[in-house]
Amino acid sequence: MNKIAKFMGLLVALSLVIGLVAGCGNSNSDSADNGKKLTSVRLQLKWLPSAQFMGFYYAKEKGYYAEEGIDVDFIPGGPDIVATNQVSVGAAEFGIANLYSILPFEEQGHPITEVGQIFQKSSFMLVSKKDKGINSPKDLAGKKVGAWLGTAEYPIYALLDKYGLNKDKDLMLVKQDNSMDAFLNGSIDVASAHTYNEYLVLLESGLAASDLNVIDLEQEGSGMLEDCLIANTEWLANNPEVAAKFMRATMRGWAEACKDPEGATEIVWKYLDHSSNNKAHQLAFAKEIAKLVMPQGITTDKICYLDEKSIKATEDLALKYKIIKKLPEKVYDKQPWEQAAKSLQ
Amino acid sequence: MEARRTKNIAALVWFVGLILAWECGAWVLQNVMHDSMHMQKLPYFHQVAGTFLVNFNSLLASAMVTLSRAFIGFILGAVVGVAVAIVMSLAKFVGKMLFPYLIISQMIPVLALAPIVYSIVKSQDAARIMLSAFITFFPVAVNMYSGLKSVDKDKIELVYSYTATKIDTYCKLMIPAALPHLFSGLKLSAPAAITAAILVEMLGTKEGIGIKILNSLYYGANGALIFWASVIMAALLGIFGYAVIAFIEKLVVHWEKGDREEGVS
Amino acid sequence: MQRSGNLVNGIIAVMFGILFIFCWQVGGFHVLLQLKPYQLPLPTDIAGALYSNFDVVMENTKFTMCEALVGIFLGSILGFMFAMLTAIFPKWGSGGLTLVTAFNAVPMIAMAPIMNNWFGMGMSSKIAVVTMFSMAPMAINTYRGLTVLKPFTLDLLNSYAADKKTIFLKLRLPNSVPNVLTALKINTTIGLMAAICSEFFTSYHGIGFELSTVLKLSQMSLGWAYIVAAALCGILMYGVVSLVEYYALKWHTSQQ
Repeated sequence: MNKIAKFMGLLVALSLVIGLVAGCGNSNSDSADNGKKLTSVRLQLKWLPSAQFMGFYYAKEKGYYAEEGIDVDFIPGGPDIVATNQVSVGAAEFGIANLYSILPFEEQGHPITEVGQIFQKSSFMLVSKKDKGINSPKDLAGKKVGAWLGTAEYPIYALLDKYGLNKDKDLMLVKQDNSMDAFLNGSIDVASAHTYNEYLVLLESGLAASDLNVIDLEQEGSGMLEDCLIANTEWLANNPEVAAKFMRATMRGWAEACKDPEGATEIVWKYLDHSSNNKAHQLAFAKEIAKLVMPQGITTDKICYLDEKSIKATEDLALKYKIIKKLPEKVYDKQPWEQAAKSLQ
Repeated sequence: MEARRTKNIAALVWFVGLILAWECGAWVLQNVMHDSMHMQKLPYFHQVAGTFLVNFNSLLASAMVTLSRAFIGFILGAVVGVAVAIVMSLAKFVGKMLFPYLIISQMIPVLALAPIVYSIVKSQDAARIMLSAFITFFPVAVNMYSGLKSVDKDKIELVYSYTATKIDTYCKLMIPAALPHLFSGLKLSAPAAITAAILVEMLGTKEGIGIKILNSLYYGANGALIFWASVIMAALLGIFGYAVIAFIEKLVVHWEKGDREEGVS
Repeated sequence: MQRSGNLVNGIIAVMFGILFIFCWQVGGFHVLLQLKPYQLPLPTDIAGALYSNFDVVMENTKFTMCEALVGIFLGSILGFMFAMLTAIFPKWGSGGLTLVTAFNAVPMIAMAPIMNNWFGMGMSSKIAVVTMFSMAPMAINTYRGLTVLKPFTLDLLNSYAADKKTIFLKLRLPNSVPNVLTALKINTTIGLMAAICSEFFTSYHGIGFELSTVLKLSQMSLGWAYIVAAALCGILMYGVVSLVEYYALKWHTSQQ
């Protein structure tokens, strides 16, 4: 009995010590709220904090959200979390996800709706080393092709279809993880890459642009829309005003961030773990993101624009490749964006 | 005293040997095999150690965050694990009944569990703690259960004939007798709790060792050294957890010493 | 007696399972925990998904089982050897035991990419991950079995002036059998988990490969069909080890 008491006592003492340590670590996370009552909103990011979300960070740091009476909490994403799920269960009001990957969720009745299209075009590309001789998508036949299965394989399916290749028979699709190691060590011949990170990683690894063959899926017409802003439908029905205000601040944030990638990188840098990040990389990253969010001559009031034609194209591809069996009743809700855009003109 | 000194020397030899093997391996990889991926496969130990020291404050801060998460998950997981084991041994048929389902429960990955847990508890922190406890409780339950089962039947009958209540039997005989087994379980669970905390960081968080590892993989070549430094930090955390449990074990379970013999040393 | 007892227990366990699945099917859990079918699919949907994708599920399960079995085998042997060396040379071995534990503390998300870099994206890298993670349970448990002896057994053998070799072979080794089996039981679960988790990274087949893909696309029923396959494999391996344990321990007690 005595032994057990001793054991328990030790456990309690230890938990106190560690609890104290933990307490110290967390004490700075409470944000100061200076008298004004702000509406709290949570945004579930698609991935780890990075320049990919610079517009949101910019709007927060410059106080655009506060001006609208909103306090935004950014919830970082990761490989084991699906942002769409988090918004659906109400763990966040807003989230960022690929347009085509939210379609099956909408089809099954998850309470989510797209409210803004952040990336206006696809950033997706397939890269290979020159010596593999992949000069056209036709040459993918017989190759090992890395794909982010479960999140980004459908643009590849669309491309293969266009060139009459069978995804199961004519080549080998390999699940690519979050690094480019499998490509660099030669395990796979072709890798999936985004213009804004993986391609840059290859260049930073000592490969020259001239060493690489690139298939740009946007140019091939098989690009599908990526990062879009989604909201919980039930929350949206109850808070249309907050949603419109959030959109307005977000659009301003993105417009300014895209015009000033250097400044945006400085802001993003505050949210990053410094020892495992690299500022130069984030800056290059930010510049590529700007091209996707504000392609040639788009004005502030056109940011996050929900273009029916390009959304339709993504929906058609999703139907064709059986991501969904039938089109969800409501894919997107233009209301908050229109309201925000009107006041920004 | 003498034995202790030789033991320390042995530990030192292991440590130095490991580093030498590491350095040689890295050298061979780089200079003999000319492997272009040597930074990812095995960078020089001295480079990793350098990165470790340069970024020590940042690594330590992340380690503390991960450790505190792991600790909460560990305590919860251990309590649940012990409770499950006691219930299973109290009622034999419950034990036989539950056991297969415990194994099934371990086959469900976090990716499938997360949407369910999040829809039950909407809070990020609560969900994370639940998930890491879920990963941690299994080895504790298995070892504690086998410990409780291994107590001699005649001992149980003896104590039972003296005291006659089940609670007394458990407090005075069963639990103390199962403690050594429990500690084997805890020693496995302590490092497991660290890896569980890191796994739960894959759900996304601001800081932690797992985030460092993930970042360095995502951003490629620049990250190889900090990746290895973070891995070392994670392993050190695991050893720390193991050492703490071993220390507590020494304080609590010294009666087992009597059975252990000096014959071999 | 023992046999019929096992049978009754088996029946109870199965009954419990049936009751559990029944509650699940009629929506008991969904009401209780306020879940939607798209978050936790119903058993009939899972069975349906399993039925219509049976061949693919089996194909992938085969790969994962292979990786797990080979990995567990290698890891257990290595762990056992470490424990034996530590028991024979306690002064030198304890450092090695710590080292094995340290390997166990390397997180999966780091171990899997490292092994992928070393052994490529095929089965060998997954086997390596399983090996790494099944070493420590075996080493720690076996070491306990080799060193923590029944009271007076050692004194008895010493009084016979038995040499170290005899003590090791006649006392320590047999004494460790139950611990080795416990470790094997733990390893079946850990090994299968490690195999599945490592397939979440660069891979082209296996349960983990499919599972992570379909779950992200919200194909929950199919995802759970893979979980069911994994669970059955886990139970199967555990059952086999338990059976071995049952007969081994019978032999074990008769030897003492």
